[in-house]
Amino acid sequence: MKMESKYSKLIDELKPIAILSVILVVFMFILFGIMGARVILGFSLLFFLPFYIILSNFDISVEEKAIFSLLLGIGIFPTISHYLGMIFSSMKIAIVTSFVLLMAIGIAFNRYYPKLKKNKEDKE
Amino acid sequence: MINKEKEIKNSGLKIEFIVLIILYLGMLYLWTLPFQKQQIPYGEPDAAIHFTMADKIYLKDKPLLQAPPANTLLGFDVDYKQGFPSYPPQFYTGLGITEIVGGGRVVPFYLYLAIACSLVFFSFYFLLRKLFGPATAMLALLFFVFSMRDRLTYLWGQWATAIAFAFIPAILYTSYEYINSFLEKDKKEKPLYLYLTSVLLALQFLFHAAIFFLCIGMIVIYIIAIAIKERKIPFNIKTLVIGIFLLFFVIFAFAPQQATSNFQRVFYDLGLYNNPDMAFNEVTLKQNVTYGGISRIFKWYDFPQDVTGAYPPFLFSFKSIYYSYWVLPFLIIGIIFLVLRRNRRDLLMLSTIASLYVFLHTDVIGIHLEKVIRFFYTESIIFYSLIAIGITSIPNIISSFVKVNENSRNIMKYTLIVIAAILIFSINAQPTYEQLKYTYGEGMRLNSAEFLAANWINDNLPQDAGIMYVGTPTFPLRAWLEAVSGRLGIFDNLNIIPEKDQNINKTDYILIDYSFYMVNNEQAKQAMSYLQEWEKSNTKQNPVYDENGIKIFKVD
Repeated sequence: MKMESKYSKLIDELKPIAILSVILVVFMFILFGIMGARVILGFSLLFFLPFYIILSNFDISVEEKAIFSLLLGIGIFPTISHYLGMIFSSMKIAIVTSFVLLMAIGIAFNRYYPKLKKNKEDKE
Repeated sequence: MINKEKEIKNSGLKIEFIVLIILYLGMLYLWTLPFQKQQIPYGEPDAAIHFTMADKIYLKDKPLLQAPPANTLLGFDVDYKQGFPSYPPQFYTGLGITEIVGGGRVVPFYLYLAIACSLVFFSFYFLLRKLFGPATAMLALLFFVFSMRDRLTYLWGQWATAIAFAFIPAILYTSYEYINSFLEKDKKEKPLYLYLTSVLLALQFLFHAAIFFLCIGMIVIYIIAIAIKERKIPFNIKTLVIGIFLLFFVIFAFAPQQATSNFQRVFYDLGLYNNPDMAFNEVTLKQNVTYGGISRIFKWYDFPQDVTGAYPPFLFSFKSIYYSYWVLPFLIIGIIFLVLRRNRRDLLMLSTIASLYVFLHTDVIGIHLEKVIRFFYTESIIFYSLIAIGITSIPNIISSFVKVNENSRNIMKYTLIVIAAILIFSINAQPTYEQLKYTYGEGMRLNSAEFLAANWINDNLPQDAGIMYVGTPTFPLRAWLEAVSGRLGIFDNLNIIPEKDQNINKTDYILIDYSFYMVNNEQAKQAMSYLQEWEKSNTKQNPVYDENGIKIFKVD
């Protein structure tokens, strides 16, 4: 139940960002067709979402999470993919693995580090 | 009553969100103008290098471990001849990933850059909104959307620098929040902000080292100012040590080769490390440049030609770069207002301009920084923040002399913002649109015939083929032919028919480019017949490619 409320809070937080992403996807689709839409979708899913989920475990505001996720995303996601690409010898596999890995880290944080969340909830 | 206030606040937030989205879409529309109609790559030679690196990742579906073989163009990007790309993996891999996800070589590449370079839009807004409220932040954004300096940094292919900017406001914010949490008696120290500062600084360093050092300067100046104001060291030394460790850990874990090479270069500059391979930089690093002596401390743009190099003079003119002088009084008002008020957030903003000033004037104490001019890239976001603060602070300044109630102050503030917005749209918008729409025209960007030929080479010729370019008239065209074709290009910078290229004996194919001369003027006709003569006497077989005025011949 508690876990459910955590996720519904996260989903609520992500709504305005999702709206912005959808607007950007449509806008880029109009300008550049499917390629433009795919870029925005990829950017939001790979470079933004995993970091937002990881940061949602910390006691920081929604705007802070959004900005830091964008900046951490463009720095960290490609680096992890690069090194995984060396292991798998395929960037496509490395991209998918990096995404799964980072999402798993975010979810694991949420599940196995309740102390961090407790701190946050106590303050709220 | 409380519900009504909440409702008003929520509707205010909604309006702010909508305006923010409209502004960002407007900016993205403008910044994508260069490749909306003509989806052909463009940019200075650095841009061609970046394109090639990202392209390798996309086309081979492999990480980029080695720079492509050194040749006339790409040789520049081999770091101290060690063979690895001089930029850390995050930059090229980010571009490569976007090409893979987007499924193309050109649009995804430039779209990623438009988004990544414009991230400063959000971080800049975020910082100013937190410190000075949404009105000031929105006004500063409006200036930024039409900022000439930021636009040129992006257009000229200084992308890593432009991406590194985006980190500045976020880093300043996390430092500010950490210091605040440490100084406030009723708050608990929040080390998370300091650790975030470290990680963001590390990522910024990996995008662009010069901007990182400028940012460090801002934080150091801010800490000194706060320490003086509060008469207290504004951080916990233990937290700071962990933060510094984290900074170096991320840098070296993420990009060991480039980090080592960058720090070697810093130590080399300081005379603490000797490596003959770095001697090629000696001319720029050690030259004894006299900038103008002590009088320079009163000047901002005064740099001699040998320092400004190939940069056009208008980059060092306030009137040109800010379209006119109308914002100058507000810049001065902004600085004076912050200096007089001097609260913590004011000191943070002042530390940005102070750091830039210090970095632009190190020559006064005999330190010549390599590529000092590049620090100017950050000038506009600093100035525009101060200008917006200057404009929105006028009602406060007036109210310190004459009694003005809050309502009137707000009316005055929003009237000033509307007037400023009208001026921005009427003065800054048109040149912005025109520059972005008509950038990289004929001779600066491949025409469609050249682009198709380069793609054909990429798809059909052996990886190690050397292609001699005959008739391609300008260096940017040659560089981009090489970048898009992904094959060694053989050309001379001063002649349309190469004779002196060091790789001339590696020529496997000859590309004769008539496409540029298919216009009706005398000079073009002469060039055309000159090339036809050259073709007759130098080629014997049928071309392997003959489309739209471009012929490619195999050399026996």
